Amino acid sequence: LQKKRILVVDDEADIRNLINIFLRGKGYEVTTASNGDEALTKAALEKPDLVLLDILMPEMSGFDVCTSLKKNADTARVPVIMCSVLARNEDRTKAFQVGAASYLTKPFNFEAAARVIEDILRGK
Amino acid sequence: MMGSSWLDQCYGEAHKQARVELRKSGIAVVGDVPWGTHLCQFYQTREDLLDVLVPYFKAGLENNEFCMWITSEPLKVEDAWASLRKAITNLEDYLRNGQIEIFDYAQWYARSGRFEPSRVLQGWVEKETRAVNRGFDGLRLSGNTFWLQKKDWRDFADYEAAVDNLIGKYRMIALCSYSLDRSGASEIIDVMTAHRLALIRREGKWEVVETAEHKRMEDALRESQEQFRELLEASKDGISVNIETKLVYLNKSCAELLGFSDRSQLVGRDFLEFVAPEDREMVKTRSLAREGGGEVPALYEFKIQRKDGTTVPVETHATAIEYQGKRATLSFRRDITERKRMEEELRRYSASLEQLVAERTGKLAQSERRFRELVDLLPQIVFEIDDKDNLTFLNQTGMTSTGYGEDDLRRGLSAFQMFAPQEHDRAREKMRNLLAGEKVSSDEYTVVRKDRSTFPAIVYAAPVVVENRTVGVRGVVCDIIERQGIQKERLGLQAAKTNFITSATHELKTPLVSIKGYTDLVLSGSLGEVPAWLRNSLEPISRNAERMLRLISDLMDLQRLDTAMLKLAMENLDLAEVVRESIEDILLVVKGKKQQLESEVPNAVLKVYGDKVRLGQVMLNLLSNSTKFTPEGGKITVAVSQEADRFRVSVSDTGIGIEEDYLPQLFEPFFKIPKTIHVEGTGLGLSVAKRLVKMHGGEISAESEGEGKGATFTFTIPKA
Repeated sequence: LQKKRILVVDDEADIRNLINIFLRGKGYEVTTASNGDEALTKAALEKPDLVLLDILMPEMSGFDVCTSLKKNADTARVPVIMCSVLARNEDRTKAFQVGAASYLTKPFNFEAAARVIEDILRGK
Repeated sequence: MMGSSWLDQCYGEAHKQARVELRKSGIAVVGDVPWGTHLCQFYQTREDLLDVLVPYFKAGLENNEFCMWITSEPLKVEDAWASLRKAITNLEDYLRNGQIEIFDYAQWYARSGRFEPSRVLQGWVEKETRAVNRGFDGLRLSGNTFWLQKKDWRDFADYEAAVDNLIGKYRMIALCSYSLDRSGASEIIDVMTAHRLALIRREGKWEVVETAEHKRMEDALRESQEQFRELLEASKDGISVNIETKLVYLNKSCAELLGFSDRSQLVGRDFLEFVAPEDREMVKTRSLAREGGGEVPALYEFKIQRKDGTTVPVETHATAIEYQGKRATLSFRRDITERKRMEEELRRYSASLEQLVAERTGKLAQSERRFRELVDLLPQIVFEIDDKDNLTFLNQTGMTSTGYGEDDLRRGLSAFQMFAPQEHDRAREKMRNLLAGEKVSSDEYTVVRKDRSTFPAIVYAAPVVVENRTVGVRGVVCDIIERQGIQKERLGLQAAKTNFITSATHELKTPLVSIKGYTDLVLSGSLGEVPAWLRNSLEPISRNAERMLRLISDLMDLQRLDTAMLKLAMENLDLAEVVRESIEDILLVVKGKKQQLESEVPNAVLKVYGDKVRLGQVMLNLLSNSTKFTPEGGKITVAVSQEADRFRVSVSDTGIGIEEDYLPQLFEPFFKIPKTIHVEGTGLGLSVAKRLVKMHGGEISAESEGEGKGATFTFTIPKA
């Protein structure tokens, strides 16, 4: 059984690293990207099974990245979980509007986040 | 009497009534009769004649009547005298007094050799007049028709009808003798028709026959005369008949008008006595001219001088009539004192009204000018549009800011010319609505100036209603180009602020997310076993990072709530579910403090319209407050009850309680009850809860019996 591959996009290196450690610990294969451009390139190249996408990033926001992913036929079907330190209703709404499969507020409870990821990968 | 109009009859009747008196007929079966009685007698013998006529004339003589006996076969003049002399001992006295004349028929009826009815009639009237002038009460006469030939019968019957008609108007009593032997059936019928009463001897006794036709006519006449008399008497107008200016008849109102209660004193007096001196000549001239057949106005006014000397203005309506054969004047007079007074009052009133109107008009003009000047001073455009969409008025600002002038308005200017083409439909619909009764409207439009340049504006408009009819629209146009600038600026500021809050939250939280994340990662044991000494040092890091994150969240929430930037994600939801989930979330903490948690939540769907996350946040804030301020082993109770239009959620505890003085301040940010135990918290939970509840249309409150007696927090939320 091949490991599921997750693309983690966050401009904060410490957080990228934290999530990386946590997800590897859960048995996933993890790739990271520190900005929108890199994320789109890696997503197209590596075709991950899931993208964990931060919203607030310089240059290109998570919303823009998600919109582009959904526009591109190669990546349109990849589920995206958007996350942010902001717990605003309007962000949550917008995330679903641009095609996100879920929305998590950081810092997330590791176990709860693991359950969400697992459910989405199983196609629930 | 020649005419027979109702007036003539009426006055004739009244005239007669005025001297109603009964005369002795002298004939036993007839008894007393009034003046104007026309009798007849059918005789066969000379004795029949004497039997009736002698007592008839005897009664006349005894009652101061002038008597005229026209006799013929079978009774000669001498026989008549002889019979009278026998019956009346003092006949000579009457003769000397000239009270009785006896003629042969030829001397009276046919003086010229043939019967001339009009001459005979005239003769009777003259006799009556002379008799009255000589001091007698009236005329009593008798005529015999024995002389009458068949060929003259028709003429005589007409004559008798004329007598019957005439006699009623004079102080006359007539008795006509007819020979029964010489009268056929048709003659008898004619005679009966012409006379009121007929005397016929039957079996030796005289009987009276009242002719039915005659009686019926007389009754009808009397009845109609009665009605007219009543009408005249009931009239409020003073009605009189004057011959020349002498009063010969007047009704009650006329007497009252002249100041008399008894009208009998007035008959025969000169009406001019009662005309005010200044009008006397005019009234006299007109009366005489009218009677003489001259053209005189029928309606005019003059003043009456009453018996007591006071004067009364009257309006008179006078007509020339014939009365008792003479030219006379019939007048209707009406007291017009009240009318004069009202006319005067009306004149004064209308004069003062005119003055009032003049004053008001002046004031109106002044007020109109004042408003006009004010309207011109306004920095906004003021306009009026008629119901044909023509612009009919623009104030000074309107003209300067649009470039249109009085000339343009005069030439006719469609109001739509002042709106951008793409807004015409909207403007037209608005105009229609206003004309149809919409009270007031305010909308944004792009106004087009005469030089085709434009500016954005808000148009406030209202219908112009005149006498319940909408005749147009008027309103104010505000140039909002400046306001738009200010608004943009404000929006810019708002955006900057939102941006600031977002960035600050992000920047503050991001390092904490790392701190807490790595700490929890180590604590989770997934990187290797964590010894107790290390755990004891890492846990406070995690806990405080968590607390800091919450503090930042609450602070940002509060800020966004106060600036109305926090948006609720409203949906229909089950309040019971929200309550149950928050209880589950806090359960671990409660158990950790060995506290008891009871809930009384109805086993039903409690529909509300709200933000699930935010309502959960309110619940969690209240629950964590309770558990924090309640000692180990205490009890927390959650209850949900419902009222007509809302649910009431309460969280009670057996904790440290709150002094009454502090209750109102509990919901203020960072408020801490002095000298209480230090408890971990952001100090913002209740403030945020209060604002969130308010945003949901509910209320939140706190109650406590006092220190050490626990507390209850309650919030309400409207039912969906």
